Amino acid sequence: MKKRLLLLLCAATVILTGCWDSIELNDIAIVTGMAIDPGKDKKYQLTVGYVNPAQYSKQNPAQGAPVSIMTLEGNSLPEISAKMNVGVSRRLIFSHTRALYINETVAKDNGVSHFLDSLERSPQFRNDFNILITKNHTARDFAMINDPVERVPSLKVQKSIKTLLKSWGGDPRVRLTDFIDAIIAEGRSPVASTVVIEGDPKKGQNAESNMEVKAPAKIMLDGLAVFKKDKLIGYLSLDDTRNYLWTQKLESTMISIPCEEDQDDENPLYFDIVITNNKSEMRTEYKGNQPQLKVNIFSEASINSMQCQKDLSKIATFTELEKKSDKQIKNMITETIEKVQKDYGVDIFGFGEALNRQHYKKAKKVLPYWNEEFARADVEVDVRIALRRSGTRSKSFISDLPKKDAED
Amino acid sequence: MSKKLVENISLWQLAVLMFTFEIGSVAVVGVGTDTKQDAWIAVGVATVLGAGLVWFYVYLLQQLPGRNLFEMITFCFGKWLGKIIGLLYVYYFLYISARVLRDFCELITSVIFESTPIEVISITMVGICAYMLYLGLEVFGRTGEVFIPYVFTFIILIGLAILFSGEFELKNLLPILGDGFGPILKHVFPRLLTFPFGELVTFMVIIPYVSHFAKAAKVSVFTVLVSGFIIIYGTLIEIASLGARQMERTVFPLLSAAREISLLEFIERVDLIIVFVVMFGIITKVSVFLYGGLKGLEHIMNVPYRYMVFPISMIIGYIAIQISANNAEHIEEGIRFIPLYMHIPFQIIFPILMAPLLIWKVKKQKRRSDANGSR
Amino acid sequence: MVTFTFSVIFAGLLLMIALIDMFIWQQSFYQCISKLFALDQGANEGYVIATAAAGFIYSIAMDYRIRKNKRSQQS
Repeated sequence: MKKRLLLLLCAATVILTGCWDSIELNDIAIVTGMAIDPGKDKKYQLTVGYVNPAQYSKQNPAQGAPVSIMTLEGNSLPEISAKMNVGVSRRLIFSHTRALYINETVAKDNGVSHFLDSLERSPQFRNDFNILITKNHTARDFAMINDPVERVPSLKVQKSIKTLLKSWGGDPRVRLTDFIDAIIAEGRSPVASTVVIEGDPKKGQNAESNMEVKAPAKIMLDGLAVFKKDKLIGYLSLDDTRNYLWTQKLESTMISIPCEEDQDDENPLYFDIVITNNKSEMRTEYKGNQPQLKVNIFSEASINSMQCQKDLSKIATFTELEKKSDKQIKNMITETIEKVQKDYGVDIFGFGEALNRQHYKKAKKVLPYWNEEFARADVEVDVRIALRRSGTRSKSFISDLPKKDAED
Repeated sequence: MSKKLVENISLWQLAVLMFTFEIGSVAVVGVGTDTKQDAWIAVGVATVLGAGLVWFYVYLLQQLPGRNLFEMITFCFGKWLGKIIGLLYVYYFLYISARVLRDFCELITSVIFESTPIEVISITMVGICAYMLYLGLEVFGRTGEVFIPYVFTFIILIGLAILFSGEFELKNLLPILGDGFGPILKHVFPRLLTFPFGELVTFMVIIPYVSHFAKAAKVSVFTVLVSGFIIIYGTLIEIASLGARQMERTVFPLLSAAREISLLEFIERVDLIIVFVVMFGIITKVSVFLYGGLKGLEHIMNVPYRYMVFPISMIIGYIAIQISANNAEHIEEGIRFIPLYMHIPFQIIFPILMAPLLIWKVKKQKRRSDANGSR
Repeated sequence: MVTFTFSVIFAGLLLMIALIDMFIWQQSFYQCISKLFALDQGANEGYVIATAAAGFIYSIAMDYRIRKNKRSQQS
């Protein structure tokens, strides 16, 4: 009996440990960023940036580059990434990828769907990395720029996007599955963030650049890339991105609004409001044969700065400022929507999906050619800002200054 | 030959087995994906119908208390015809258990153990099931009892975690019933009714061994309703977090939904919990089908089923690999062939045909025994 | 008896798979059967075949034991 048990235990150790898929921790390299460029001979050129773990040891951090990169060419991403070990000693693990940089020429010419499929199919990739379109420089450069604070460039980009989204809102919050969903959806077109390099990318690659106070090169966010199906067709500025986000899901933003509509250009006066809570709703309707796009926005805000001479302890001032901000924000958002309608003619906002949810029968008819319908639709934006409070001061000291008119 | 062992499981154990049986493979492959955002409605309709079906099965069993499906078949059709029909049922049960096993193997090989050969997973899993059944139905029931709290809490927690990580978008559920009830009904019958609910026909082998048989009908119908609710809950999670379009594309929807979880940027990558739930569900399901088949063989061949547990389960491990050459074939068989030509005859048509015969024979027997008693 | 059961179940299930394959692949019966028995080169089918063979040997041993028990009971 004992012998049998022993035999069983031996068999169990062999069968149950799952040794086929075991990889030791010191045999893996964690990839944080991937960059896709057009290849010279083959279809793509893939660059992976993987972490140098010695840099992160607490006791005696090694000197040297925090990440290391490797570039190869090939026809598909899985093929290239499996081949990476021609130059990398360890097995690459992609499940912690933070950023995917796509060169704008790839996105313009080939379209992105060919490699997105492999990312979605692979069980390694999670749905938590940012898709970034790189402008002006090759995507490869972006994977190499060091950052003094975060050290790993892709971590820096992701963190900066996350923080920007919380404080101001400049990233469409698009992840892989959302992006793919938007490509195949009839009532929505995909968008992605864009990044640019400010400074000299050659200098930024050097690990010693981390010693300098002013980094020689920096990765900066630069608004939105607009796609039609899976091809890049244009860009939106950072301000438009914020306005775009306002129609979707905005966490918080800061906006400055002129005190008077027709003020002199020499010394314009502004007041700032911070949006703390935002709720937006899209409605799409048909009036006869004319599509109507409606956005209802309700935001709670508080005043953060005041350059004009208004008395904030009075209700009338609050009402007046609310009205001004309503109008300003309404104009901004309408302008953005109309710009997208006119310049690109693709529905990045998801009005078609709203139509599908609200008027299913109508949507079934018009969705196949929805982008044309979107381009000719009337836009109506309804904004209601509720100013709640004004920081730790009620009246601004500026309002006690002698009035400008009195000086003259 | 050694005498037959009379095994008993409690009502609670029966409920646990039924519950895990129901949610097991639903958690792997997902249900109702063809009906897009209305999948949860389809599941609801199927649950109600399924509860009716289960009540019908127990009603049949109540006519002949203490006898299982195979003994009932022999009672109705006589010795030889009964043996042939019983053998068909045995083949059906064993084939489905191999299919379920293959479902799980596909999940493991394509998500977790990419380079482990699928054959090894199949053998180890079927080994566990065989060992459990070798120890007997009581051990099987107790195993279920031990694991059910984890399964239940994990499924509930996954849903809450998705809700709190902000991936839960109720917008995805709209428009409700956009195309009307037609597509839903088409999907419910035959596929949804037979896949998670009709398969409970196997429990016709287990229910007679419940200690309080009188309450079995109530308990099993109630369990089916509860598990139906859990399946609706799971489907809602899948639709709301993935969206209908993506749910259609994924092979393992609940697992993909669990991958979206990111709570406070601290609780992340919890998809292995789903794999745990799935693993236990699959073990239960394979074991129940295997037990059904073995009990049938016991009745037909007159050999205690414990002697046959290991050889037959080895065949299951082999068949699970041979059943299809690739995942696409496996899925296509599951959609085109199995529901129409296997589930419906064995789950619905045959029991319904058997019902009048059974009632008639029981009445005749009672009359005869009454006559005997009065004499 | 166990060996007999084993063979009946094994043959029956293989036949069933072959019939379903005929339906799905639209091939002749002979093709499907030969596909089942052809060893895929490179696939690890050997593992499952070995276990199935082990099951067969086990069932023979089981039959032997049953017979021995019966004889000892009779004597």
